[in-house]
Amino acid sequence: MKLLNTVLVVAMSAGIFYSCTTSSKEEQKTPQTESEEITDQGPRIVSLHASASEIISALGCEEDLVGTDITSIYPESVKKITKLGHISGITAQGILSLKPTLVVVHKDELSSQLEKQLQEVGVQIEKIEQNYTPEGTVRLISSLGETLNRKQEAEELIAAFNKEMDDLTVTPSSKKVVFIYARGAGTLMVAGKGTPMDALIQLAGAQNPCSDFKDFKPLTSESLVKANPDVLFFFTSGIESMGGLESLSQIPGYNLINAGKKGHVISMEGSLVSSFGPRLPKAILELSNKLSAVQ
Amino acid sequence: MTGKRSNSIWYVSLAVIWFVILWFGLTSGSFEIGSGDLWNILQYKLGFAELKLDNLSVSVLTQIRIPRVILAAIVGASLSIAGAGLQGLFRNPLADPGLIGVSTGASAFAAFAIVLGIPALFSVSWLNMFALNVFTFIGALVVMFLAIMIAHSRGNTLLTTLLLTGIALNALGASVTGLLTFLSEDEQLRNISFWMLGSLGGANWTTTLVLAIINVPVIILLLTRGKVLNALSLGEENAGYLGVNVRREKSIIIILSSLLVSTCVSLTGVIGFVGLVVPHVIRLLKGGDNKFILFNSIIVGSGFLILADTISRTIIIPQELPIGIITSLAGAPVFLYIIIKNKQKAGV
Repeated sequence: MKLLNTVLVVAMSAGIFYSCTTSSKEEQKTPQTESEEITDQGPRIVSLHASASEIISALGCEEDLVGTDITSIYPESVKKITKLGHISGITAQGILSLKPTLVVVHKDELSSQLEKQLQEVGVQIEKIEQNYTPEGTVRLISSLGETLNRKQEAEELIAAFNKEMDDLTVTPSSKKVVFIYARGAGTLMVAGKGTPMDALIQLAGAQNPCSDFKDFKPLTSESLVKANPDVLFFFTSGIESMGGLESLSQIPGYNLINAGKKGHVISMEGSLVSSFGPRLPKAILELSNKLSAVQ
Repeated sequence: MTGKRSNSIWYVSLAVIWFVILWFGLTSGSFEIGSGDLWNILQYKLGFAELKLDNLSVSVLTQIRIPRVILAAIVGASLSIAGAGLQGLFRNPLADPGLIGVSTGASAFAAFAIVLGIPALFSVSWLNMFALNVFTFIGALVVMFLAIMIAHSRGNTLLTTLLLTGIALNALGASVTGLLTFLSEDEQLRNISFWMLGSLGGANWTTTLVLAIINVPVIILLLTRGKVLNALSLGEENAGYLGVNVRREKSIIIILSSLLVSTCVSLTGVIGFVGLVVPHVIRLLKGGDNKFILFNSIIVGSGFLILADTISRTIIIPQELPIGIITSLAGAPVFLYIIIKNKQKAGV
């Protein structure tokens, strides 16, 4: 399956490469007729952010999506939309080959060069912010609703979201949960402050003992033992890529921490954990349920 | 100063420094186990004193810290003696264990395995656990034999061809890794970049023992090649006149050195600079006797890596700084200092 994916990505990137070389030639010849064409066809949106893609789809604008970044995989139907690759490697040529009228991108992930290139061609850029709180999600939905002219839908979505959030009952616990993102030759990459995992762990009523650093950082085995997490938290795909549950015992110090002694390891689907979109209540509920299951 | 006396001063100071580093390595870490605690555990294990520490501290020391220090020592010794062997063989002080593309090839294979999700393919749990290590090791061996085969001509390994092949294989490996990072998802990317930076964080008794069982005999075998390397330093033809089976010995040294690098890379990722700088520093300080350089590479290399690893895991507690950064950061200035000092000496 993974092999197939890889082949597909290669094929797709080749396709993108081909289409952008051809389209850039066309652009040079007839820039004016092209922009007329675009206005005739309605908006063409390129979303370079997973949560934005999810919200755009939830607002009923999925048909207008002509391209997304590689992390946009929810809902299922978004997967079929042309993938432009990872945000760090996306070029103006690739985006412009899709003839977008609007590009949605996280404000911190947009390089000044790309911004300039897109502005020169006259593509509208919507820079989004995300701060991994329920309020942040509401703000994101409302600002996208405004940009896409879907205020009504956005309000309904926010109302449903708020209701789900209100209905949610989370029992606070003193459980210490450490999210492990990746494992290379040995060291563990752990989620610190400012990550969606850290925010989700707290929203689910638990604690992240690794809060004295920001972003994802490699943690020493001794620090893991010192932090003594009650639960280890992974992406479902993360456990697989590390060689399955059995391989966790290979982590130095695994048998010295509470999570290791009791085998308290949980996993959740990656896009659900990190998106902080309309599915946030579901994510909180799932994590909270999984945490109470490992009592 | 006579050679013998200067040698005994050298060895005494080396031994003192080595044990200070070892003690420093064993008593530093984010988990507080200091000199007194270590002394207490030592006495307790020997039956001289009561244990004053809690069990967790003892476990951290025996299950995490000690295997890691030993792993650092073996990896440091392996990379350094491999570098010494190759530098002697190529008669080029700039030869490095990565020269013939082994480490780059190994990381390309590791990246390949990560992106294709190889570790998840096996149903046997122990295979799963070590799939990535085994795959990387195979990658290193494949590259090694490829390089030797290409450089092989009528029963002889052509060293210049081997060097050029190494450059090509290095470029190929790097571009394959680059391509794979382009194709990988964010999570896989982090795993790959981890592999390329190198870390001793995975040290436990299993990895340490596996490495010891393979590498210690190989290190000893390579150690016996000092005489051959000395003969080879006179040129292949002259070495032949001295009774050295040049063709066979060249292959042996290349294979032994590459084997050491392969096992290290497959367990700890790519740790640069050690294999280049350690033998070189010894040569600059104490001259070009290969027997001496090989033996001392083991001591200096192991000490250097224990020190670098201890710094990497204690400088930004609770995080870990990639060890490759430390080895270059600490090694490069020392290297430069010795080069400059040597230049002045030569000028006088």
